[in-house]
Amino acid sequence: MTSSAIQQSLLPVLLIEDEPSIMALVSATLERNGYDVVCIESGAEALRLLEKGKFLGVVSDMRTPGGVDGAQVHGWISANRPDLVDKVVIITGDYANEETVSTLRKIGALYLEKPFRVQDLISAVEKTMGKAR
Amino acid sequence: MAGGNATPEARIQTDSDEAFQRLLLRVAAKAAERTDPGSLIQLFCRLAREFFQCGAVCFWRRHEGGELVGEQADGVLAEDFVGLRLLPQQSGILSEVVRSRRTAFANGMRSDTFPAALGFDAHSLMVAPLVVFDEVIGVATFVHDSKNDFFSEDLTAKATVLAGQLGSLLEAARRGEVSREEHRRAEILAEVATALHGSPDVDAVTEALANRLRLLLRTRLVSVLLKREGPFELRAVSAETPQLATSFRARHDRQTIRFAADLAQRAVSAGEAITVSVSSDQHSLGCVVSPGILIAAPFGTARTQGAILVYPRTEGAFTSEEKSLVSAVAGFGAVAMAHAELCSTAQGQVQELHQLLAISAELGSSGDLEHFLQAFVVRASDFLGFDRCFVALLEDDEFRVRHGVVRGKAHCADSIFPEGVATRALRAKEVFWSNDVTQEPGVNQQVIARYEARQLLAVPLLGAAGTVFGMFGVLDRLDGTGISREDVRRARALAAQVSVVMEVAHNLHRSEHNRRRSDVVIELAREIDGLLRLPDFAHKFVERAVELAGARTGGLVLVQDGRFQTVALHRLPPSAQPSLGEHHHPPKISEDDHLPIFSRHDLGDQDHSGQDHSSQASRSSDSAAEDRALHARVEDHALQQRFAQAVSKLAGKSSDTIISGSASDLLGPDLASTLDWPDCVMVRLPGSRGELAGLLCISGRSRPLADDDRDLLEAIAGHAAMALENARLFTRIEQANRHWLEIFDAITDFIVVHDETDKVLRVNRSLAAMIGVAPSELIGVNMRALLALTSEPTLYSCPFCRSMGEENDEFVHPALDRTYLVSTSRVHGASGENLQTIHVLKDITDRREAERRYRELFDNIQEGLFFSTPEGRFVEVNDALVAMLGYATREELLQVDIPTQIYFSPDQRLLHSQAMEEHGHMRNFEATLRRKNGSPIYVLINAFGVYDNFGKLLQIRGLMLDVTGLHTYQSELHRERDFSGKILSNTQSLILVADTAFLISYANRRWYEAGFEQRELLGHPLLELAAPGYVSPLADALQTILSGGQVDNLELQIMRGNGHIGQFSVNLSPMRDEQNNINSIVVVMTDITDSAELRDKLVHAEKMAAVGQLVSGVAHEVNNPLTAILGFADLLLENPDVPETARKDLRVILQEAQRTKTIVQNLLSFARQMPPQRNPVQLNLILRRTIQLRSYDFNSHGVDIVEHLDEDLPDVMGDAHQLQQVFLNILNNAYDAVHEVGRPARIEIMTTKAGNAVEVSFRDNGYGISHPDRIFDPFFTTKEVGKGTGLGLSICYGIVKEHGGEILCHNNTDGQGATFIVRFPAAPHTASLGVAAGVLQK
Repeated sequence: MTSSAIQQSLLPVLLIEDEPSIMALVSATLERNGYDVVCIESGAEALRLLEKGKFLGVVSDMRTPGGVDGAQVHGWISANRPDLVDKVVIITGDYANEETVSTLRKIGALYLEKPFRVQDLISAVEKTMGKAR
Repeated sequence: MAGGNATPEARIQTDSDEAFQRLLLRVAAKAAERTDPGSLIQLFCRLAREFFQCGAVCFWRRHEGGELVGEQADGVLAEDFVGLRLLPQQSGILSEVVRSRRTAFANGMRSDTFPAALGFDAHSLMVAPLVVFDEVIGVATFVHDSKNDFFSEDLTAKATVLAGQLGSLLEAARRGEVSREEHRRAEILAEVATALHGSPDVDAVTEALANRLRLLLRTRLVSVLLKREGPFELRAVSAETPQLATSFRARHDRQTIRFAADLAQRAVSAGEAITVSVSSDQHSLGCVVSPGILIAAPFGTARTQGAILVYPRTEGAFTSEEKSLVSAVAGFGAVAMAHAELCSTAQGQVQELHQLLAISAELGSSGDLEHFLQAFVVRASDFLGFDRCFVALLEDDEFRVRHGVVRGKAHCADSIFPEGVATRALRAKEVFWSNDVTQEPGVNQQVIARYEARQLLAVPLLGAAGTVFGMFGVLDRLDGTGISREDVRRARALAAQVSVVMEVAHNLHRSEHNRRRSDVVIELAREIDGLLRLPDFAHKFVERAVELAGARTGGLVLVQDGRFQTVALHRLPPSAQPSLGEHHHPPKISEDDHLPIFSRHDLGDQDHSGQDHSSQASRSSDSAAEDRALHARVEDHALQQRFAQAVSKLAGKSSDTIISGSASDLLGPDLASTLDWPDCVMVRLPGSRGELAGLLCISGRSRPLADDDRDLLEAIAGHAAMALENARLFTRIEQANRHWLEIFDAITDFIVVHDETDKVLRVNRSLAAMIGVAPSELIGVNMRALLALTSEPTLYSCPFCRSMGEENDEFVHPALDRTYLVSTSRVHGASGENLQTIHVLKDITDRREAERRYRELFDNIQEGLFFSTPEGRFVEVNDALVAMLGYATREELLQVDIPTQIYFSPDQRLLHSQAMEEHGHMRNFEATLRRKNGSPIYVLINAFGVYDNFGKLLQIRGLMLDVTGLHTYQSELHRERDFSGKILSNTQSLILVADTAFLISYANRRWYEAGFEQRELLGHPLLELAAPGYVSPLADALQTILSGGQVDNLELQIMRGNGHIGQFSVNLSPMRDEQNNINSIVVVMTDITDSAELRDKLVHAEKMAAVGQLVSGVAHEVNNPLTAILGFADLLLENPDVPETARKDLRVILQEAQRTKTIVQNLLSFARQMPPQRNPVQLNLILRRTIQLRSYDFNSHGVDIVEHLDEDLPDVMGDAHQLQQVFLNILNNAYDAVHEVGRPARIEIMTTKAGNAVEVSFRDNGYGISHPDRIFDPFFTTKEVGKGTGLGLSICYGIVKEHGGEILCHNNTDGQGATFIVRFPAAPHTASLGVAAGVLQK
């Protein structure tokens, strides 16, 4: 294990999800796969965290309370934390909405449609942020 | 020096100028004296030398090629100068002067530059050109032999003027000379022309030609050669002296003439004058003719060729003008020659003509043929110049020789000219001639030997009709030469002359003959015309006809009332039996039709006397013959009948005017022997209208009928027919007279005839009966006696003669109060000049009364009455019509032209005319007519036509009723009705009127357009229209109306005409009569079927959209818990600590969660609002691919797929994958439906173009759809639980809607299965194949 790998493994994944069951599922899945997870319910809160702290990547629901949704989070990241731009996974249950779909296509972030399988989630996170161990 | 005397130089100059003027004048004066050019030049040289005071003045004449020849000179070396020749290049100054045409001088001459001039010892030299018409004709040189600088510019100018003048004068002189020569020639030519034309003789012409040409050309000898048929011969010689001419002629031996003839032939061949250079050895004339150029000019006429030879002259060669002159004179000569030839020919012919005329005059004067023929042969042999001559006439088709002459001695002959080549030619109207008959093929050598004939010329004699009637021939020419064309021509001319003479004689004879015959016929006509009684006529006619026709007996059969009747019939009188001893001559008309003049009977004296005898004999035996005839008359009716039958049979068989033959052949042997007739000639008698009037039969003719006899018989028949007609007419007139008398008495009108003294000549029975006496008692009574009829005194003795001059007059009988129309006419009585007056009195009392009534009615009736012509003029109108049409008087109205002034439209007038033509009347015809003031008047016309006997319409009479008021009211009514009707017809609403019993009494047009028929509506109960379930609401509504209410917007379903039910909004209102009672109900219906359907669709669409939104929301909400369930189940299953039992349960959870996920995804895809792709796609292709996807299933389960795909289906704009999903869904649905039902499964797929839409229908024969209206709702399914989500068709619905189409389904009307219909709008343009392929490749 290299120091950078250790250091990296120390960085948590920021999870933005207001639905408790999904939050529980995603954090449980990521943690079981060796990732640290910092959970936050609101997008606005998440931006504050992102301003201060360092994260391995961001998993965000599309629709989040607090006036800032997943797309805006992604937008902020691409503006302020470009190093994290490729390490965002968006979860959405709203893919029947044409607007949502077009937004997702536009920002180009990897996204998962609810209901997703655990394996899909792990694959997406590993693909964007690398394996935890 | 101004004003002072002139300087010496100037004076010299002035003197010199004056001298120069004088010099010019002297030269000109010399020229004016017509001095010859040589003297003039001589003078010029002398004067010029004196004037210029130089050594010499020379004149050079310039010749062709520019050579200068010294001609005249004055001064030193003058003699040497003349004849000197100098080429221009030999002298520089001369050539320069000639070239520049300007005077030049050279002073101080040196031998090196002027070698030529120095020959003249010249010290200085001046050269002046003589220029005429821009050409140098000569040069004058001025030489000074002592001074080196003698010439100056001044002298040059003078020399120029002087030379110019000399040139002009020389030219003038030359021209004068030329014109004199021309004049001489012209004179000679004119003289030639006169001389030539004065000579009508060829020799004179040639002589004149030679003489004049010789004089003209000033040559010694001219000869003329001519050629006719043989070689050229010398015809004329003109020589300078008679000795020369004699010498020339004497030397003109064979060789010389050949040379001359050669020249002549060459000229003739060349066609123009030629010139030949001759030497004495050529022409062989020795010293008589000098060598040189000879002119040979050809000339010719139609008959003759000739040439003029102009021998060379000593004075020099002939010029080209002279050559043309010779040609011209030769031309004159040709004309004169032709003239002379013509003259001689004409003289020859005149002579011949005189001879011919003399012959024909001589022949014509000889009255009898034998003399004539005799004279003819003598003259012919003489005229034609032959040894022997004979003439033959064609008798019995043989040429019989009648007269001959041998060496001027005439003799009679009677032999046959043997048949052979000659006669064949003669019969063909051709001349035969031979110079040696013995050599002619096919000749009769014996005859030739007998006559010792050698030459023969035989000519046919032709009659006026072009027939050959004889010939004459000549043998052996006296002069022994051959027979020439001329001989043939002359013989022909003679033949023609003789023929004419003979023809004249023939005609004379014929006309004499005709005159005699017509006398006979006229006599017959005179005899029989007097006999008006038929039997007398018949017998007399038969007798005369028999006599005239040279027969001995005869009979006459007439056609009377279509039957043949014998009116006269004679036996052959016994004493008239033919006997050789009897001197009986039937009148002889002709023996020979071809050449009557040769009949002995006409020409021989004996025969003339014979005829006289015969006529005397017949006259003397007249009474005896009559007796015999009476004896011979057949009075046996049976025999007459048999005769009539036989004749009618014969007449029926042939329509020939004359039939002749043996009596037993024509009439039958029995009848012939009974009548004792040997032969029979039957002649048809023509009636006045060409019909068969009767038949004349004669018998006992001694010889067969000739054409003349036929003519005679026809003439006789014509006369008989006419006489017969007269006899008949006479009978008819008698009958007519009787009839007339009967009619006269039968007439009920009174008729009285009186003479000039008013004595009654005749009255008819009615008049006599009215007076009460017998008609005969009134005859002779004065007309005054008839005054009993009238009491009024009158000026006239006859009461009816008052109206003299008028056609008729009315006479009122005062006592009887009756009116008579008297018509009077005057005729001349049959007996003489007595004028008879006839009065016919017709009782017209009743007619007058009728007229009076009619007039009263006509004038007073209030309707317009008219009589009009078919052409459109009123003949009579009544006052009512005049007033009606707004005219002032009848006369005014009678002037108008009806078609243009009374009718408004020509069509209407035409219509009326046609009605009159077709039906002969008009009944209640409406018309719009024009009043005088132009305003319209509507009238009703009733009229009828009055026709003449031929059915031609004469007048239209009728009545007009003014219906203007009525018409205005009607038209308003009509307009209103029209207006309402239009509203009713054009409204989109269906309008009905029903009576109070609710029976339909009216339906507007919309009903019929909507598929109803009149018989289904009118008279039927209104309630029958309502669909089941709607009857009672309608009945209720109707009751409401009856009670005075109004029903609006009642929605009803009505059975349409086609059986379909339609949705209608109905308004009902009562209609009241004048008493305000409701008498009917107005029903106005508006078809809202379409809008109701639309509304349903809208509701459905809204519902689906709402469901979509709902589903979308729900799905989203379900997704979160589902994600958790799936996720944690996954996590648990990954956990190795979880026991296997729990794992099994977990898997169930996972499976069900998966199912839930699918449902949600489907729900979301139904609700998805994402627009599909838009490309032109071909539904047929998509359908086929879709069917293919399921074909395995369909085949294995025995589902029959039937495709009816329209190959011309337009493309649709859409998403191929989505559309495939739709079709697959519907197919699956159908498959499920048919699969379960258990009968032979069948799905029919059909594509069609429906307007601007493309329609796909899927028809199955499954169990049908229980709720067609709900089938597209999400989760609606009829399938058993777990088999379908109930979302398939909802998704289809969504997709189709997104494509702008619609999806429908209904159960099939035949009760089996259901049909799904999907419609899409067709793509605006048919996509190209490439685009379609591109879509499909995706």
